[in-house]
Order: sequence, then structure tokens, then C-alpha cells
Amino acid sequence: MATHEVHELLGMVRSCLWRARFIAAIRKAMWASAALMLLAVAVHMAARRVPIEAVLLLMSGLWAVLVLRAAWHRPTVAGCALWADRHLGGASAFTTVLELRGAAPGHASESARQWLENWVAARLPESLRLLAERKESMRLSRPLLSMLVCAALATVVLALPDTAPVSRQQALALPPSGIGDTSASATQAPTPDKLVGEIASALRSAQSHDAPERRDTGHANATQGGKAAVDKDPAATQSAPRPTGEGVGVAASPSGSAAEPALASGSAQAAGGGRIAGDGRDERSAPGMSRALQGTIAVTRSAARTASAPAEMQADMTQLATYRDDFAPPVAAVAHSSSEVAAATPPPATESTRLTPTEASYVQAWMKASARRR
Amino acid sequence: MDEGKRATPMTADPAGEGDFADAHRRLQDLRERLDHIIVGQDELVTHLITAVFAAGHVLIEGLPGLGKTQLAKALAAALGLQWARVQCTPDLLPADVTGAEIYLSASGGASSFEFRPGPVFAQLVLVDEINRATPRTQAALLEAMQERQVTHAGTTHPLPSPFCVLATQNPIELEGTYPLPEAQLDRFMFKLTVPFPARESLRKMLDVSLDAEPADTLQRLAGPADVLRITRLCRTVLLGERCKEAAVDLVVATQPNGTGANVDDRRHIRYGASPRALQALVRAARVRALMAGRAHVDVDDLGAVALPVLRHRVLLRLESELDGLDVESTLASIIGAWRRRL
Repeated sequence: MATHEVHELLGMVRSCLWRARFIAAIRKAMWASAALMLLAVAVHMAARRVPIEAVLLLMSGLWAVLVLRAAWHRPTVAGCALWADRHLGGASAFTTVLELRGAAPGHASESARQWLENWVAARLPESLRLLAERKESMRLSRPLLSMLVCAALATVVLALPDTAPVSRQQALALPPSGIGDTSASATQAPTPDKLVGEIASALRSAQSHDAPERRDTGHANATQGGKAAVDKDPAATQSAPRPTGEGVGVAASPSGSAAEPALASGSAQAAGGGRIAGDGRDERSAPGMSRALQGTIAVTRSAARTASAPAEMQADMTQLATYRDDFAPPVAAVAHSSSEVAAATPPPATESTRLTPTEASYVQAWMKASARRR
Repeated sequence: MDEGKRATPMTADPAGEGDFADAHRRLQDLRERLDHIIVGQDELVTHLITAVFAAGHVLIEGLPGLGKTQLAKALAAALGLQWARVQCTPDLLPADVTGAEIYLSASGGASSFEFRPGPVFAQLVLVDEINRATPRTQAALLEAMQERQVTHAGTTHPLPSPFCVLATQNPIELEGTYPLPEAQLDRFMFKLTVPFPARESLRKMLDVSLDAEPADTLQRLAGPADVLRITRLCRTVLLGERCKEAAVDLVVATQPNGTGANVDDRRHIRYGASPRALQALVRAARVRALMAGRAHVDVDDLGAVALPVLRHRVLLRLESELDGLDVESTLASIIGAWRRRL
């Protein structure tokens, strides 16, 4: 009879199943430990300080429960026989043998029972060989690695001081930060918005350093007249009014404003004259301001300046009308036009508008220097 | 009498240990011998032997010329069974199958009616194209299959034992046929399909059966008594609780509101397998176990006979059939899911 051999096989199967059950419990405990440590880290970061001792205590309890549960549920003989039938080529023989041993003597044909016993006895060596060759993969590497990574993370994070509640209290207690509020910003980490603001202010300051130079350039253009502007910026000459040709005086020439790239927008600029060319700051690259807004601001400034401009500056607009071929002024206006035409001519240079030799040499030197720089 | 009631208890027929070995050897020999004659139809031959020794009837579906008649003749010759053939036509009468009383006049002036048995009284009956017979004739034949007796003019005539009907039907040319009702299909233990042989089998067939009928020269391997003995021995094959549960699970899985199969398979089923299918499943699995040299049934034995047992007992919904789904694929999915759960 193969009774002894069958029990031996089932005992080996039981130890194999029990070991597999322990490994599964350990695997489950590792995953649970990793999850527990991640949870502790999250709580520590978000809500409150979590002591390491509490985490260790919880993990110990978890491991104890899982391992004891695996130890408590011992594989049954029927379960071992079923496993042997499935995995060791038993073909339902081991379970049938066990059932027949627990059944009444006349339950089955004696010859069939004997044939079954013989079949099992013949099958046992092969089943034992299969059991010995069976290599169950433990599959512990991933949970172990996860647990180690989570343990390292938890060790680092839980060892940190409890900063989350303080920062939250500060965030609740502090008013909205304004300009010059450096006390709160000194303790807080710079936010991206803040960084952007700082960068923008740094850029503005850099532009403001460049601004006097541009003002000087504009002023030089204005003082040099339309010739200098035409030489430097041919595109600006296309938009400049044609009547301002060679030798046009400084005060009456609108080409200085047309040559200014920041304010090249129509007759309002022409009305602004060279005064605007060197005065306005180029804010096209300023963050947070759209082009449309810039144009609006420029027009507004031009309009304001037009409104407050002196009478001789207003005469330029009238002068533009004299160049229209189809223009027919009214009779009343024709009587008055002689004085207006005289006023439209460039004013004669006076001593006050002419540059002194020192100033002229300074301007020429500056122009040469700027030309070399470009 | 129900087939399940005919099955004797396992303790009623004690057999010697040598009987199992002898039965196993005879079944193996029979299968090998038939495999040499019916080339390329190994599974068909195995199922046919299983049905004969499980005391069941077989419905064979296949195209003409695939060797169905040859297989029946070879099986009868190998087992030494008396066999008869009935070619079904629409004008076939029940008396042509079961037999009829004829008038006999003796020389002395005395006359009498004598019952002349029909072809159904053979031990192995080949009913060709059973779906061409009228329902009346089919009912008479199938009643004889189930009851294993014929009642004529108030007299009951028992059919011989062993008794096995191999009915064939053609899957094409269905005009003018009378498809078997589901209740009568349930009387067949197996429904087998005859596939077209592989190329190698066709080549080998030329060497085996080109000029002669190998079934005519087949040596007898057993007799009717041996068939009955092995049939009784198969009923003593042990069936464990695991296999009982597995068989029940499989039959329940074919029910439209059963458990086990997935919902996607169940929703296609209109009618599932009957309890008679469960009995046929276990009886056939016992023969398969004995053919494998075991005195106990394994779940693999159940799985091996599941498809031929369930194929003609499961009906699909009309919508599913219109969608192109067939019973074979549905049952294959159900059996696959059942195997994975074991």
C-alpha cells in the first residue's frame, strides 16, 4: 500500500504550501509597510507631526498580524491533495484516495479502489520529482525595494522639524504682502510670481539705465534735425512728412518724432514733434502691458500735449493743409492766410536755439561714439 | 427506462483488478485498430468508442464521403456486433424501422401473424440521414433508443444488448428535411462532427482503403459479452467529490441564469444543458478514465467529453445566432472558463 508514501507526499506539499503562504504574508506585509510609511510621510507633511515610534509600532503590529494569520491557517490535507492533483499530475487521484479512506468500506468497488491505490503508488515518484523540481518564485524583490525606498523617505521626512503647521499659521496670520513688506518675505521661500516681479523690476531698472542714452539720442536727433534721422532710419523717413526736407529747422521739423520708433503712429506724433522722440521710454518689452495699451497711452499723451501746445506748434497742422493741391480755403481764411503762411515757415534761427561750439562738438563726438558702438 | 436508472451501483458488480487492466488493454487496442482504418479521425474514433461503452447513442454530422458508414461498419466488425443500416427517406414508415407483423399461412390451413423485427433490433444501427425521415418515424426510432424496447400490438419486444444507434445527418441540403426536435436530440449522448481530414491523412488514406474495404477484413477484437462487461466495469470507475462538483458546475454554467460562466456567454444562451446531460457527461468521463488506464475520473476526462455532450443540448438566442455566434464558440468559451476555475 502506498499510504505512507501518500502521506509523505502530502506532508511535503503542506510544508510547501505553508512556506508559500508565509512568503505571501511577508510580501503583503512589505507592501502594507511601504504604504503605511508613505501615509505617515504624507500626514507629516500635510497635517501634523508623526513620531517615528508610532510608525514603527504600527508596522510591527501589521507584520505580527499577517504572519500569525499565515501561521494559524494551516493547509488542510484535502487542500494539499487538491494542490497535488492540480500541480503534480495527480489527475484527481489524491483527493479520491482521501475520500475513499474516509468513506464506508462498501462505498466503492474494491477492485476500483485497489486499482486506484496502485495507480497512486505508480504516480508517487513522478509527483515527488515534480515537487522537488518545483521552484516557486518568491517575488519579494519589488515589495522589498518599495519598502526600503519608503523607509528611507520616511526616515528623512519624519526626522525633519515640523514645518508644515508653522507655515500654515504664517500663511493664515500674515496680511497680503505689499510693496516693502520684507519681514514676511524674508522667512518665506520666494514664489514664482515674486520671482517674476523681481526679474521684471530688474529689467525695468536696466532699461531705465539705458533711457538717458535714448533720451540723448532723441534729443540729438531733434537737434540735428531731420537729416540725421533720415540717415539713421530710412524706414522712418518714409512715414515722415515730405515737406520737412533738408535744412529744416529744429523746432518746426516733425521728422524727429516720426523717426522715433516707439511713437511712430500718425499725425498725433507729428504734432508732438521732436519733444516726444527723446522723452518717451521704450516700454514695448515691459511685462504686463499690451501693445494696444501702449498705443492708447501714447495717443493720450500726444493729445494732451497737443492740447497744451503753444500756438506756433499748432501752426504746423495748418501747414500740412497748404500742401494739398485740392485744398481751397474759404475766403475769410484766405485773407488771414498770409500771416499763417508766414507763421508756417521755419522760424529763423536765433542765438538761443543755436548750439554753442562746445555743445556742437559734444554732440558730434557723441554721434561718432554711438555710430562706432552700433 | 432511464439510462441513469439502468446504471448499477458501483458495489453491485465487483470486478477484479485484472478486469480493469483487461478493459484498458481492449479499449486501447480497439482505438488503435480503428485509427488505422479511419485515417485522420482519431478524436472521432475515440468519442465513438466512448459512446458505445457508455451505452449511449451518437449523432454524427458531416459531409458525405467522410467515412461515417465505414466507421460504423468497422466498429461493428471489431466488436463483433450485429449491425444494420437504415437509409432514411420521407416515405420511410415507423414499421420499416421497428418491425411489423406479417401474415403467415401454414400448410395445414392455419394462419397467424408473426412479428418480424426491423433493423432497429440490431446491436449497432446506422441510421443514415435521420433528418430526412418524417417526424413520425423519427419518434418511433428515438423511442426505441430511449426505452430499448419496441411495443407492437400490445407486445413488448426488448432490443438486444448492447444497443447503440449511430445516426448521421448532413449539414447541407436541408430542403425537404425534418430537423430533430430538441427533446429528441437530448436522447443522443454525443453529437460528433466529422472534420475534413488533413492532407497527410488523405495521402495515407490512399494506401489503406483505395482498392478494398478494410472494415470487411477487420479482425474481431471483442464480442458483445466483452462490450457488456466493459460497460459494467465503467460504472465502477470512481468519481471523486471534486469531479462531481466540477461536472455540476459545468452543466450549471450552460444555463442562461446559472453561475460560473461569464455574463457575456450566458446572455447568448436560450436553453442550457439538461440533467440528462450531466449523467451523460459523467458516464462518458468514466469511459475516458478507463481508456486512460485509471479507475478514477479526473476533471480532464470531463473536459474531454464536454463539448460533444453539450453541443446539441445548448440553444442560443435568435439574436445571437443572427449576430453570427454559434454554439461551438460559446461552449468553448464556457468550457475554457470552467477549466480555469478548477
